Amino acid sequence: MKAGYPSPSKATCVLLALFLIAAASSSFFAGRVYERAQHWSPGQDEPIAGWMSLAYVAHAYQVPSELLHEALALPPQPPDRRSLADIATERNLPLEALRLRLEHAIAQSRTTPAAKAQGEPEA
Amino acid sequence: MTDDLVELVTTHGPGALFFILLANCLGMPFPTSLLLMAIGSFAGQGEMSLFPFVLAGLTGAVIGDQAGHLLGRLGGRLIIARLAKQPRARATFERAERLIWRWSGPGIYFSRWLLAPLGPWVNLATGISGYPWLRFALWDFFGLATWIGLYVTLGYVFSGSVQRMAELSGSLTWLLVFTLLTLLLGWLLLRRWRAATLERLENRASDLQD
Repeated sequence: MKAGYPSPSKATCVLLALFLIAAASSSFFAGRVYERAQHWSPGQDEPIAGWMSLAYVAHAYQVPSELLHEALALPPQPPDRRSLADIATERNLPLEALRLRLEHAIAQSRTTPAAKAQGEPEA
Repeated sequence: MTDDLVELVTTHGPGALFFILLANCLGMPFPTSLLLMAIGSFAGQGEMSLFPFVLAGLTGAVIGDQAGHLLGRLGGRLIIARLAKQPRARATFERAERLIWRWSGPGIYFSRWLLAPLGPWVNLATGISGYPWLRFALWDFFGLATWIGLYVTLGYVFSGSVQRMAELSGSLTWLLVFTLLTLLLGWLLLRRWRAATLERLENRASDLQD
């Protein structure tokens, strides 16, 4: 190192390292916000998650709740209020399997006109 | 964990939310934004009534924050007692205290909702610095009311987009926290660099004089 430019102290090095980590983390989250905001519009489909109940999925996808009960071979009445994670655990199935069945039923109801008519959003 | 928390709240009602928000305000990193939005959404669909949840959640969060602040106060007294015989360390502590006092009001308010991950730390810091309790309690209450009110309303209005909204708001919160941290560290580095440059120039000037 040149004379007149003393090497930075240990504290400055630590501060600089923390600054770089914080800046990198900011850029990472900026990217995520940008990506999520780009795909965000109120009418878009929700990714199905374990905390959701069948009623919530039916509401989010604007399909009748009975259709989803049927897809999981559950009696539609009384409505099953458990979370999908709970149903998956009880059946000893991965959540992914339930998600695929629900998505398949929803996709089918959207392509079949009769089911589509039934699946009008509730007021 | 999200699955269990939502399940707890839907099965056990407002009492479960009380304990979840209390623990969250003491530093347990629960996904409370999603939970509050889910409650708003369920209420929007007519599955539950909102008021008892808001009341229970707000009470739990206030108690959690007050407990954190009290812990800080007790810790602060211990620190002061220890520093009594060390004037230099005591001066540093008092400088930090003044800094905390200057930024505390808005700091408490925004760390309840916009910069939520900082909340428990702000509770401790304001407690350690002996920040006036009543002012803490008021800023805290308004901040928590904003937090719970905002997320529950978002869930109520966009009742079919809770998952995506929670993902977006979570990333946004961390973006704000890290941006703030980057600015703070950048400012500290700049100050150090300026002080070092000044010292170097002074040394050179005195060398030339010699």
